Parts: sequence; structure tokens; C-alpha cells
Amino acid sequence: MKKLMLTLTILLGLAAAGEAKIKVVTSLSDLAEFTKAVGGDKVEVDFLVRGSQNPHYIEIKPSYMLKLKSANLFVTIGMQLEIWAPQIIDGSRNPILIVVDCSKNVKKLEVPSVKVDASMGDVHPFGNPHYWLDPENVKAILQEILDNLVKVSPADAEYFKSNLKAYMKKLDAKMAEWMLLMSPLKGTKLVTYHTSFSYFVERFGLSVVGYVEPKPGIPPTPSHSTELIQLMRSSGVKIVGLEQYYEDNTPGQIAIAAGARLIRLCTSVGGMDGTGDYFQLIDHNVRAIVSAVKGS
Amino acid sequence: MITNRLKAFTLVFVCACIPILNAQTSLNPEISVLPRFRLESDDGGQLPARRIFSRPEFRIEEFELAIQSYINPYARADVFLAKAGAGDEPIEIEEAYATFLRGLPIGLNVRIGKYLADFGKLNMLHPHAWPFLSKPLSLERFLGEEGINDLGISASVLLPTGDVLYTRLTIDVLRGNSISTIDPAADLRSGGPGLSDTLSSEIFYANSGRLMMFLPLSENSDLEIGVSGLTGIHDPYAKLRFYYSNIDFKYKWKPSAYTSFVLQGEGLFNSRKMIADTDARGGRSLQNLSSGGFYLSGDLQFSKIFSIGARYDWSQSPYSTTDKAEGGAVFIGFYPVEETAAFRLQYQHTRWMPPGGETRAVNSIALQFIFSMGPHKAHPF
Repeated sequence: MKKLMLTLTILLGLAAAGEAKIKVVTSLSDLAEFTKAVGGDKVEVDFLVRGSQNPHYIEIKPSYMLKLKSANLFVTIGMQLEIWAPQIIDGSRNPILIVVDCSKNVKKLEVPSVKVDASMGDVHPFGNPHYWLDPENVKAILQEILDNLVKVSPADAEYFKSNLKAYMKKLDAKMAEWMLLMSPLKGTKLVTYHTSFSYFVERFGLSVVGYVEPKPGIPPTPSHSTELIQLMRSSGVKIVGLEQYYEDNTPGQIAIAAGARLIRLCTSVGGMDGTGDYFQLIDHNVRAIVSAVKGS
Repeated sequence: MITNRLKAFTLVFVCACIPILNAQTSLNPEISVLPRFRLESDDGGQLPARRIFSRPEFRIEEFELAIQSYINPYARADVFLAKAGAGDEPIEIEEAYATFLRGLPIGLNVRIGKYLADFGKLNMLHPHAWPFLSKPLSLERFLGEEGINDLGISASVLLPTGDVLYTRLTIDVLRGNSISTIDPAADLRSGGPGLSDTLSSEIFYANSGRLMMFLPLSENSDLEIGVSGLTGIHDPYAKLRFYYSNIDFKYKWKPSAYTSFVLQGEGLFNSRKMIADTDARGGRSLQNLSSGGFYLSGDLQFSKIFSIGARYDWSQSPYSTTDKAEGGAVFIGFYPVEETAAFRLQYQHTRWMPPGGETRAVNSIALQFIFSMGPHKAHPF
């Protein structure tokens, strides 16, 4: 009888262990979607930064530490976008936590060639970290997530690979659609608030000629706004793209003065209405730019 | 030949140095400098004869140097050196401690060194992170100007209270020399010098602890509640003990990136035995004393660069229930470029009500300027 009970207990334990999901916390909502896409029903995913928040400035909340406390993986953008992450990781007191840096195999833009200091504003020393807004870079992110999920659960490797393939297929199809929409717009000049869209514009052949911020992370000044308006007029810039979390007062005034259109662009999944997943997010940005060009 | 050898040696030396330099760069601690400057005037100097604001005094309030780094995969160290004023004031070790973050059972974190104890909400926070310029009266009178800042060992653990409620318990054993005795004859206007040194010949350890709970109320609002206790010897001659208990809360509502409202308060309760009388033969009779104080502050950020707030203070003395002080302050914060530079303007009105004495009111206006260099980490919620 005792042996039977013991066997049952072991079997029940194994069954429970078999059903246990890999707990993943991501910094951004976009990464949560990618992780869910690869991990499928083998993962339980949560994220820290809501799409409507600026990921550069996140308050160190104990509730974030609690989320990481029982996680297997913490998936991050890296390149010091999540400069706040080490305190949350330390506060989680999770000895088994694996921190995943998705930027490992991404071709980085705007990597400083000189020593970075605060006179340059908030320049990221490892380059511009907004690489997830180029859909082609999502493939490198998915691969990094896959590699780390396999580390935690090698038995599910094939399942994860097949999920990744399916997502990539969908991504390729959408990419063709976006390229088709954007190809007539090659060389279109625009101004954005921050350097959030460097990878996006590079992919679609657009050109950012200036920023509302005089330097990354530094609020706009009247003199810089005047210079920017002059630059926009002389370069024929008709679009000011504004990230979802910035105030529109100054960019709106700049757009009016330069005879341009102010459009809201989105940097993260869920940041605006109609950006519930990554495909909708890129759809939103592509269509906003296409309509702005047509309208002007 | 010699020139070639020299060139070759130089090349080898430079090549050999590159990885060393890189390694040193990555191993260097993070160094930050945070000076606080203050321009202040008050009308207390001429009282009670005349109420005239003094000539504004411009001074270095404090110069803080923070050196922070991991020391190995399991622990990090934080050192804060501070110097008040631009004169001959000594450089003091404000804090110097190592925190063992990993490798201990049940997720235990252990801190060893000299540090600000986890007591109440404000004690651990450096003044540059306060929204106001002055320490609340209750904390100044009961904990002293430096707060509970002592040599000690601290252990903290997260309690299993589910996936939503964050609960942390911290217990400290402190050397006790910053929290031993208050000179009752101290200047009443300033609230006394706080907690001075014990007898150097004898050490009286103190113990403190805090239970902190953090609860997200909604996507945009959070609540933190804390309960703290501290006990130690306040009279090293008669070996008389004091007990402090403290409740604190902080509510934050942040509906957007540039709008937030923080409501924060602390109530401190003091219980201690005191010598009531001494007879001719040296016999002493003791009395129990209970007193307390509290503050309540609100701070509204209404744009990216501006915030405005107010605070109300009320406090008795650690040694008397009839020695009271009451005050209010309004303050404005201006943060022109992120958090690397801050200007704060504060008007404060304080009434000192000594037992049997004349009530005195003091008004002060102060402008503070803070800048920060280096990667000093953001302060937690």
C-alpha cells in the first residue's frame, strides 16, 4: 500500500511538473508578444513596461521585483534601454533568473565612435536600442528567445522551433505588404521627437532629418525649435512623427510653423488604440506615414 | 636596432595594455557626485523683538560622493561620502555598506556596514530625493538631523504574500551610537541636536525592524504601507530604554508620464522611561513618558518640469509632551533637464511651543539647487 501511494505521489508530481509553464517576464510588451509566439502554451508571459510608457524612464516598483521573483527568464531589449533593470533584478532575489539580451545578434545603428558623456544628452553607449521597430530585426529577437527557452526546456525545442517558423512566415508576408506600401515613399523626409524610429526608417528607406529634442532625452528649447522649423522648410519636410508618450505642444507648434503634419507614431504594442499586436503596431506606423504623405 | 626594439616593445606593451585598460574600465565602480546648494533667509534671528528676514545665506548644504559597484557575483557595495559646507568641515562617511544579494537561503539579503536603517519611509532616502527641503519636524526631533544612520547588520526577507502584494521584513542590529541619548537641554528652537553619542566605554546595541507592504491599486496607482520599530538605550548612565514605533504610507497616482500625485505621511510614537526625581541619597524615581509626532505631505507633478507640494508637521519632544512644535511648508520643484538638475523653492512656517515658555514662530524661505553627475541610480518607489 505504501509503495502504491509513493508511486502515485511521484506520478502526480511528474504530471504537475510536466504541466508547469516556463515563467517569462519581458521588459516591453513587444517582447512579451514575441515570447508568447515562440513559447506558445508552454510559457506564461508577463511584461513590465506598458506600451503607453516611455521605456527609458521606469520607476523601480517592488511589484516589478515580485514579477521577476518566480520567473525563469527576463527578456530585455538590452543596449542600456532598460537602465533601471539591474535594481529590479537585484530586488527580485531570484537566483535562477536568466536575463536574455535580445540585441546580441542585431546590426546596431548609431553606435558612438567617441567617448559618450552627458553633454551629448542620453546617448546610449552601445548604439540606438530601438531596433525592434524594424520588422527584420524581430527575427534575431525570436531566435534569441528560442535559444533561451530551449535552455530552460530542451524537451520542447521542436515545439518552439515550429512556433518560431509559423510566426516568421506571418512576419514575412506582412513585411512584403509593408514594403509594397512604403516603396513609393522612399526618400521621404520626416522629423521625429526622439531617435525612436532610426531602424524603422532605415528599413523602409525614409530619412529623418531632425529631432524635436535638441539632443536625445533633452527637452526641446525655443532656439532648437526655430532652427528645426527652418531646416524643415528648407528640406521640404512635411511630417512630424511623435511617439505616443510625448506631449504634442511643441511638436504641434513646430509642425504648424513648418507647414507639416503632426502624426502619432507608436513604439510599442498596446501603446495606442489599434496596436494590440506587433503587426498592428507596424501597420499603424506604415499607414500613418502613407496617409500623411498622401494628404500633404 | 635599439629604435626597432623600442618600437616593438612599445607595440607589445600597448597591445598588452588594451585588454587591461578595457578590463579596468568595466571593473571601475560607478561614481556620482551630487552637490546641494542652498540660499536661505529666515526671520527667527531677531525674535521676539523684530520680525525681519535675515540677509540670505548662500552655502553648500552638502556635497555627496557616491561610489557604487558589484564586488562579486553575490554582493554589491555602496559608499557615500558627504561634506557639509565649503569650509573646514570634515568629510564624513555617510554610508558605507556591502549588500549580499544572492547565494543566501530563502532569498535573504544581508547588509553590513554603516547605513541608514530601514525605518519609516524617509529615513533611508537621501535628502536630494525628497520633494521638500527640510526634514519633517517629527523625524528631526526624534531621530536627529542624520536620522538612524549607524553601524550595523541588516537582514531582509520577502514574505510569501502572493503574486500581487509585495511584503518585505527587515531586521537590524545596530551599534546604537547614533541612537542613544538626546540632550534635553538642547536648543528648543532647532528641536535639539538629535541623538548624540553614548559613553565611549560602553556599547548599547539597538534593534530596529520594518515590515513593508507594497500593493498596486490600479494600472496608475500604488500604495506602500510600512510599520517600523526601534529600541535602544537613551540614557547610558541609568541604562534607560526607549521604544519607537512608526507607521508610514505612500500613495502615488501617475496617470501619465508628466502627471503624478504623491501623498505620503509618517506617524512616530515614542515610549521611554525617564528619571523623574533624585533624592538626597542618590535614589531615583522613574516615570514613563509617551509622546509622538507626524507629518503629511502631498506633491503634484503637473508638467514634465514642474511640481508643487505642501507638508504639515506636528511633533512633541522625545522628552516632554508639553514641548511641541508645529509647522507647514509649501514647495515648488523645477527640473529643467530630466533629473540631472533641480531647483526647489520652499517657504516654511514653524511654531515652537516650549513648556511654560513663549511660543515662537519662524518663517523661512529657501532656494535649493541640486545637480548630479554620474550614473547615480534611480531611487525606488
